[in-house]
Amino acid sequence: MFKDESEFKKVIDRLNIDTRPNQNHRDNLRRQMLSVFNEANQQSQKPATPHGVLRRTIMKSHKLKLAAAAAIIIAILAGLPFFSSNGSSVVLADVLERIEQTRAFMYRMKTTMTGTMLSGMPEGKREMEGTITISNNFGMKMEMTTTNANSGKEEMTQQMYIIPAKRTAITLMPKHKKYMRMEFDEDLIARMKKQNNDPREMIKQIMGSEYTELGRSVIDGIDVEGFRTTDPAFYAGAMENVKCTLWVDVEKWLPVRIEMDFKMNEQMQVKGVIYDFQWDIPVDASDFEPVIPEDFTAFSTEAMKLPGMTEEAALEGLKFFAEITGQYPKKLNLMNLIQEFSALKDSKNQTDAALKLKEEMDQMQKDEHIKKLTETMLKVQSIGMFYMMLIQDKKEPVYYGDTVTVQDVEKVLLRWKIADDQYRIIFGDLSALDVSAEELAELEKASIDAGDKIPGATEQAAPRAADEPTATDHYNRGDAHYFNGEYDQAFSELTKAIEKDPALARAYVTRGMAYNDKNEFDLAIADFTRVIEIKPTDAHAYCYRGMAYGNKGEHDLAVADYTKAIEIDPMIVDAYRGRARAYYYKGEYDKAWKDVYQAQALGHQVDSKLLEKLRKASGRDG
Amino acid sequence: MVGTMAKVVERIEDDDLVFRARTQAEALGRLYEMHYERILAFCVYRLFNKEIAEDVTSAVFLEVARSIGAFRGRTVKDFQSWLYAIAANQANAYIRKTTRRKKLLEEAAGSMTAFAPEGTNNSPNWPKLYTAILKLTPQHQTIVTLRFFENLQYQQIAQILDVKEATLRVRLHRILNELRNHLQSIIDPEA
Repeated sequence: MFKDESEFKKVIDRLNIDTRPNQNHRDNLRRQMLSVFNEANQQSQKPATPHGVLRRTIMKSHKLKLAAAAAIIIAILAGLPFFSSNGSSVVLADVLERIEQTRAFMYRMKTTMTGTMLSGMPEGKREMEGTITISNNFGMKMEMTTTNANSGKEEMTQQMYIIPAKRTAITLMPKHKKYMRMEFDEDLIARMKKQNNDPREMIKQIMGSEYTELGRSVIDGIDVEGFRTTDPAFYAGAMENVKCTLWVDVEKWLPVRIEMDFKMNEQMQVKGVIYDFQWDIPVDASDFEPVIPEDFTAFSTEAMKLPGMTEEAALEGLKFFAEITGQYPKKLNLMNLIQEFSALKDSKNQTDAALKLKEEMDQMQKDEHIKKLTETMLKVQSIGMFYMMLIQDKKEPVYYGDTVTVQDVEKVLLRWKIADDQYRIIFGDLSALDVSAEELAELEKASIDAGDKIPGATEQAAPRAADEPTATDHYNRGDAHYFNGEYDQAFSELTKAIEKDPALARAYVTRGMAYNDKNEFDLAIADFTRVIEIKPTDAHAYCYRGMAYGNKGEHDLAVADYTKAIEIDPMIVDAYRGRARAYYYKGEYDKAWKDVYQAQALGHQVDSKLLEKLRKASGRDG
Repeated sequence: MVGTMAKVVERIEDDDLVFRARTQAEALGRLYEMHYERILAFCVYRLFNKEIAEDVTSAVFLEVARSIGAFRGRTVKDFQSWLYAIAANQANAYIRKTTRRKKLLEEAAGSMTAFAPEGTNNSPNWPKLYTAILKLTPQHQTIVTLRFFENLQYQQIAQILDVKEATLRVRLHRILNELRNHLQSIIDPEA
C-alpha cells in the first residue's frame, strides 16, 4: 500500500498505459474543429435576423422591469465595495495613488449578463455598455445601455448621476420619460465619498484579497503587468466564483484594462471589461448636474430614501421578509435576496401578509405601484447591505437562515464579531445577545444538540422520512460547498451533519478548515479539538489543530500539536512542515531547519516563501 | 542567455497565439497541434479506453472551436487550464450519461496494459487500483488524473478547477485516504 502522495505517484508511474494518438483521428478532428470554428466566427459577424428581432425579448412586465432597474441602481450604490486597509502590495498601492492624484477620469465598461436576474424575467443574454466619468470633486456620471444580445434590440438606457454633496442619486430613463431621485443617509454617503464603484475600488479590493501576479503582457501596444484574484472574499463575498484581472501600464502605473467574471446569483453569470481609460480630463460641476427634460415625470414626488446600513434596518428587513414569505432568506447575498423575494409571486403558498400586499398594490396606479415595489425591495435589500457591511468590516458574520425559522427562539440565526472574543447573536425570534467566543460555541452547539427538542419546533418535527438526508449526505454536500468556496452553505450543511451525527469527525475537520479559512481560529481550534476527542490517535487531527494554533499566532501550542502528531506517526510530512513554520515564528531557526531537512528527507519541499524567510532570518542557505 | 531569450520570445509568441486564436483559424490550428496529445492522454487516463477517449477529445476541441471567441485568457497557460477544465467536464458528462458506465469502464480499464504485478513492493496491481479509483466521485477522479497521471502542479490544478490551492491540498490528502480505504476493502474485504 502507498503511504503518501509520492508513493502513490510511484505506483501510477509504474503503469504502462497506451496513450499514443491515432493519426486519422487527429487529422479528422482538426478539420472538423476548424470548420466549426469558421462557422461560429461567421455567425457572430452576422446581423440579427428579422426573426430574432421580432422575437419577444423584452421583459413581460414593464413595472417589474422598471423596479428591477431601480434595484440594479440600488445594488450598484449599496453594493459598493468597501475599503480594505490591509493591502500588502506596494505596486498596487502606487497604482492607486496615481489614480487618486487625477482629479477626473473616464472609462468605458462592457458587461454581459447571462441568465435571469429576477424571477419572472425571461432568461437570456444581455449586454450593458456604457461610459462612466468620475470626478473627485463633483461625483459620478454613468450612461448605460442594455441590449438583448440575442436580438441586438436595445432594452433600456439609463443615465445615472451620483452627487455626494447633495446626498442624491438621480436616474433618468429617456425611453420611458421617467426619472427617479434617491437620497442617502450620512453613513452611506460617508462610505460613498471614499468608495465608488470604480477602478480605484477594484484595486483596493484586489489589494485586500489574495491575488496572484500574472507577469507582463501587451495590450493595444502598451506593456502591462497583470494581477488576478479569485479570492471568495473579493467584493465582500457579494458575488460568487469571482475572477478579477487588472492590467496596469508598467510605465504610467495606471490601469489599462480590468476584466471581471463572476456569478451574481444562482441564475446569473456576469462577465465584464473596463477599458479605454482617459485620465485627468477637464470637468466642471455642471457636467454632473442632470438636466431633466420637462416632459419627464418622477416616479414619486418625494425622493426615495435608501435604508441605512444598520442592524436595526436589517432586523426590520428580516422581519418583513419572514412575514411576507413565511421564512427567512436562505442567503444574505444582495442579489440572492432580491431573487428569493421576487420568486414569491410565483409561489403557490402565499402568506396572508403577501396576499394583502399584493391586493394593496393591485389597486395602485402604475407609478405608485412601481414606487411601492421599489420600497419593498429596498427593505429586503437593507438586510443584504448590512450583511455585506459586516463582511467588509471583517466582522466574520455567519448566517443560518436555511435551517432556522421564526419559531427557533433559541437557535442562532445570524452572528458576527463585535470585538476580540465578543460576538453578537441574532436568534430565530430576532432577539439579540452579546456573548464571548466560548459562549457562542456553546450556544451554536446547543442549537445543534437541541435539534427537535427546541420548544416550538418540536410540534412540527416529523419522524425521519426514508428520503431525508443522512449525516453523510449533509457532510458530502457541505464538503462540496467548501470545495467550491461556498462557505455559508458549507457551514450550514456541515452543522447539519454534526447535528445528525455528533461523532462524525470528518464533518468537524471540514468545518474546522472552513473556519480556519475565514480566520476564525478559535472556532477552528474547537472543531479540531473535537476531532482529537473522537479520534485521539489520528496524527492528522493534531496537524490540523497545530495549523490553526499557528495561524492564531500561538506558536508554542502549534509546536506541541505537531510534536504529538510526529509521536503518533514519525513519517507525517505535514507535521514537519508545520512545525518548521512554527519554529521560524518562535525565532528557533536551527530547529526550523531540522524540520525542513526532515520534510525533504521524506521527499517533500517546504513552502518556498517560508524557506526564503528562514534563509534571511537565520543567515543560512540551508 | 540566448536560450533564455529564445524561450522568452517563444512564450510571448505563444501568448499572442492564444489572443489570435480567438479570430484566426491558423492560430487555433497551432494550439490544437500543441495540445491534442495531452488532452487525448488525459481522456485515456480518465476513461481507460482509447476509443471513448477519442470521442471525448473530439467533444473537447469542438467545444473549444465554438467558445474560443469568448475566451478571455491571454497566455498559453490560461488556455491549457481552460482546455483541461473543458476536458474534465466532458469526461464527467460522458460518465454521467452512460448508464452502463461502471461495466463499460471496468471492461475498458481491464484491457489496459499495466506493469505492476500484485505483491511487488506491496503495491496494488492495476485492476485493483482502477476499481478503487472508480469508487471516487467523478470530480475526485479528475483530481487524481490531473495530479498523478498528468503530473500537473497544484497551482495549475487549482486554476483548472477554480479552487484555492490550500483547499486542493486538503482535498487530495483526503482522496488518498479514501483510496487507501477502498483498496484495503478490495484487497481484504474481511478487514
